[in-house]
Amino acid sequence: MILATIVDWNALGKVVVYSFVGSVAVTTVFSVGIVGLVRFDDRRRAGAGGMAYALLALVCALIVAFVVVEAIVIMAKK
Amino acid sequence: MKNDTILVIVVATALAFDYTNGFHDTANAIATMVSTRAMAPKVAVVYSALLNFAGAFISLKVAATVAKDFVDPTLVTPEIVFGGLVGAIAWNLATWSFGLPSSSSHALIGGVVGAVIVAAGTDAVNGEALISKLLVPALIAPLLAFAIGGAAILVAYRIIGGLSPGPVTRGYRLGQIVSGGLLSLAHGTNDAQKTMGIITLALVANGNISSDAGTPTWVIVCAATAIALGTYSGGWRIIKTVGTRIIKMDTAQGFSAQSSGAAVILTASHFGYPLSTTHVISGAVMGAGAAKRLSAVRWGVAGNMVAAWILTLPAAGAMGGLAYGITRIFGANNAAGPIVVLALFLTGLGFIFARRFRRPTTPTVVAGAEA
Repeated sequence: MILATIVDWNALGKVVVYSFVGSVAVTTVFSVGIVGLVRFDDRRRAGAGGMAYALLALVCALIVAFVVVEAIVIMAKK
Repeated sequence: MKNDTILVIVVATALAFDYTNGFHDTANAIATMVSTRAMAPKVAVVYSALLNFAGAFISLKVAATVAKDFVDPTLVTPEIVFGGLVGAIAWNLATWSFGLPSSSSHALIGGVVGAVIVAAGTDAVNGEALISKLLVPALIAPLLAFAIGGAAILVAYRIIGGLSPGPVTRGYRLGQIVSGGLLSLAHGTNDAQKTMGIITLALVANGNISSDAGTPTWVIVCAATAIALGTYSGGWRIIKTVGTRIIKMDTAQGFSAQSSGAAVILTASHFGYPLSTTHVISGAVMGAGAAKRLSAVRWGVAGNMVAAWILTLPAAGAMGGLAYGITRIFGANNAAGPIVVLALFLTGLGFIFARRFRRPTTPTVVAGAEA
């Protein structure tokens, strides 16, 4: 098989796995952050605190910010 | 062999290609943002243009030329580079006129390969590299992005299900602005360097700088400016296709498509397996739509895009070969050839534009399509 010798299957496999995990992870964290923010807003309006949700949203925002910085570092190292 | 007239023509043509690359690929970064109203169309192109400009300065490890892996580099002359650029520009403009996103990098490689075949025959082309570094990635990129974009939107819907749509929409719009910014930055980094590489190659070939010299600062600034101006000018036909004609998307789909696209592009870049941004983003948009409902994707539009992707290499190659063939009629190192080709090309462009500009696609038209 010609393809078996000329395609870099190792790099391709890494791209598939890492991009799948990275993409789903970022979407999950960002979506959980939105849930935290919305729940915090609901609790705050009801006068029931909801600081745990605010903390959750903050942690998610920090993780996303870290990912963005990491992405820029990857571009710069290329 | 020194001919400053040919050098000036090659540099100007390379910058023109950079400009078309900018407006052709604006859709990759901003189409979903504009479609979901995360940003106003005109603000989005300014945002993307500035980040494309900045991206061009992030990494300056410029390759000798984007085509060096695919053809025998010892055979490449300024006239061949010129022919390749003309082929790539012609294909970019042709696909733009039909509102079809296609890879500018593939067009450039196709153009240069076509010119080299006319100059030296098929033996000068590295067929294995074409399969492993261009054709296989072109097959994998949209399929991978389709699967990942689909998985991401299913996860997002699962998590946000039951929440009131207003705050969720605002949240994902913010996410789209961030992910669209990353895509713009990555585009400036990747694509402006191709032009820098080509101009540097032409300067080396013409004896203006030595082969071990770095890229001159003026080349970096000019390439960054050309791609930013191209991005700013829009390319609204393609933005309309990617943003509204493949699927009618909500903000969660827009965010999932963009973040999946950014993840695939950056991961691939990190592992040295470059994929076309256009193929990735288009695949991710289709995946985000199909995961919600298969019939949500306009498969006819998707089919036209895939046809354009398949045709990119041979069509740009044919046009690049033709441009080089006409140039060669006037003999080697003769500026008359490129001048005649440019005159013919600009005349043809004028004719096409005169017809197309009767019904231009503007930011207003694109915004209206989402309403």
